[in-house]
Amino acid sequence: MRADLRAQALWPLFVALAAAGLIELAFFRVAYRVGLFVPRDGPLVDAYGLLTRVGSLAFDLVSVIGLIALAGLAVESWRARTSARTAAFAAFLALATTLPFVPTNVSDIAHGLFSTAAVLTVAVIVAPALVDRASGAANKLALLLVAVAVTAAQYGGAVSGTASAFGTTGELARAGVHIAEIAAVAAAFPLAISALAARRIDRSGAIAAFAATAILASAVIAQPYLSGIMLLWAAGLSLLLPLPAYAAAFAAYIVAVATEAASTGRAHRAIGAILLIVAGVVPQSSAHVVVAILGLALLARPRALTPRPDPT
Amino acid sequence: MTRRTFALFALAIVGALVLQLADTRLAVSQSTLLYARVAPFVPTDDPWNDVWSQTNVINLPLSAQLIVAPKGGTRDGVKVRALHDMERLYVLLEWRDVAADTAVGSVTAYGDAAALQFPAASSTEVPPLCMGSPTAIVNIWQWKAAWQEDARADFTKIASSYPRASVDAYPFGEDPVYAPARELGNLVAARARSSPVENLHAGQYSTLTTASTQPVGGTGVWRDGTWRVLFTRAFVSGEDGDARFALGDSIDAAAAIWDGGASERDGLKAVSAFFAVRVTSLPLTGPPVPMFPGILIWPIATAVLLGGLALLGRPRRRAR
Repeated sequence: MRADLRAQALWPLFVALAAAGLIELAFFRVAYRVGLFVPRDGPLVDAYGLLTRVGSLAFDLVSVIGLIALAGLAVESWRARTSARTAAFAAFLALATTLPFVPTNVSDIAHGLFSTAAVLTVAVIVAPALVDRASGAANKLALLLVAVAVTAAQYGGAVSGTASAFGTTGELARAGVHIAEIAAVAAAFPLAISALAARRIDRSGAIAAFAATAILASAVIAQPYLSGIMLLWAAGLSLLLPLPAYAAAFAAYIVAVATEAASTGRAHRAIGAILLIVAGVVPQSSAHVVVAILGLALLARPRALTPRPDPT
Repeated sequence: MTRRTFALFALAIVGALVLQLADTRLAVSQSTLLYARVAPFVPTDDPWNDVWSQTNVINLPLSAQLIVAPKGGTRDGVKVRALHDMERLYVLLEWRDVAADTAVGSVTAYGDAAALQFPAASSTEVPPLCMGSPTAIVNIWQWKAAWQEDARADFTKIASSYPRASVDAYPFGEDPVYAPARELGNLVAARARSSPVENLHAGQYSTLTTASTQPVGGTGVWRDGTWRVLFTRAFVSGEDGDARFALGDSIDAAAAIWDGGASERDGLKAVSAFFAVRVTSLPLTGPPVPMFPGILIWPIATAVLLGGLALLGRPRRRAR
């Protein structure tokens, strides 16, 4: 109970992290990269400069809030006397904080350790949820698939970083990325089923899912080359699966977010799903790996993070 | 909002502002790494030399260039190796191509080509992959099979492609007025070539410019359906638009491949994402060990640590 109360202080941070992450995704990873097509003079350049500046600030906010939230979870685990979780969170936090500052001659080892700590943290997050009888089968499957996606993406990175000192690594790194992509797409469906099992989707949620999917699908169909490269850069999606699979998965993610947000006591799961979308399939930076793991931690939580209503 | 939450928010915002002002990040990218080891001697005219079998290799996936028209590109992968001798960097590209397209003697023939792209020494930020930006210039080395063929078998003329063609009279053949590109020093029209590799600078697409100095050497050799192209240049170069290398440094790089047989030229090319080249002091010590020990390092470490965590995570009795 005490740990739960302390966790509630983290709730606004997770909400802010999701908001900053969405801004960063839209302005820094997407808008910034279409700068090639912005005319070199006129008001568009100023607007472009402002948006990318906001996106850059949002990225820094994401990196800082992510580490603070990670520290909060480590403290929460320590107070709950869960030693394994505490050790994993603390190790991951230490490596995520120091990774940007390690000398280049040891950075590949540091990247490997960071990936290892990320996988360990995923394991200590997901393992209790998988054996928890209160957790539904769909939720367990979703957690397992997300864990596979994060693990495959991290081992792809660690393999290509460290093992390149030993031999050819391209095929294995690519295999890791493909496994991550397939698992991330597949995870959307049990996530939506788990949300719909708790509450029926309302009209606004269905409209949001349909509209968002229609806009994305239209963009991909109208500009397949540009959309493809933007999805690759922004979210690490290589589009190896048929396009309808991505459209359906995206709709399922939106359904999960909308339904969980409207469900009593499950808003933390909506934020968790948003954080997974923000992180992308193959995180491009260590900050996005932190975001993915925080999203997974929220989805695996049996209890709410939101402050309880004051009984008075 | 509680006082504690407010304090955490303040900490996050101040932290983000400090990072902005310091122009630094509390995160790092996760890119592919290529080690350039030290080799006492690297033959510049033999990309198939045994020295290249002793160093590590990365296999980069390629994708068609899809940002700027003309869009396309068919090659799906390239192997990259790198060495150095403390003074020069050597980078070897290898890719499958069923035919060596070296002749450009007609308007519908295109030669095979390969390129490497590095941030210029003057760039203070990582440039956009697509030919850099005005504030982040890129240095591009492009090897052209046709240029190499020019150097090997004399400049490709109309007579090279159409040996039976006859010309009644062409009285001003050597008059520079009728060969303005060559007279102005355009390398494309040059008859004498010192290197098949062109050194270029770009600050966005459509700004590609031949550099004023051409310090990059190279050789391409096609064998049994595979091209191997070696690029080499001294660590230090005089121009700001050129890349600079130094022992211990890592530099971003990207590769591009053109298949002339598929009419690829200009933006019709297959491109890689950025990878990092690290100029290390590690010596060549013989053939690289099989990749499996390297790959197993992290899963084994994970398993051991997971076991430790499982022991640590056993239920503990609360102190009464």
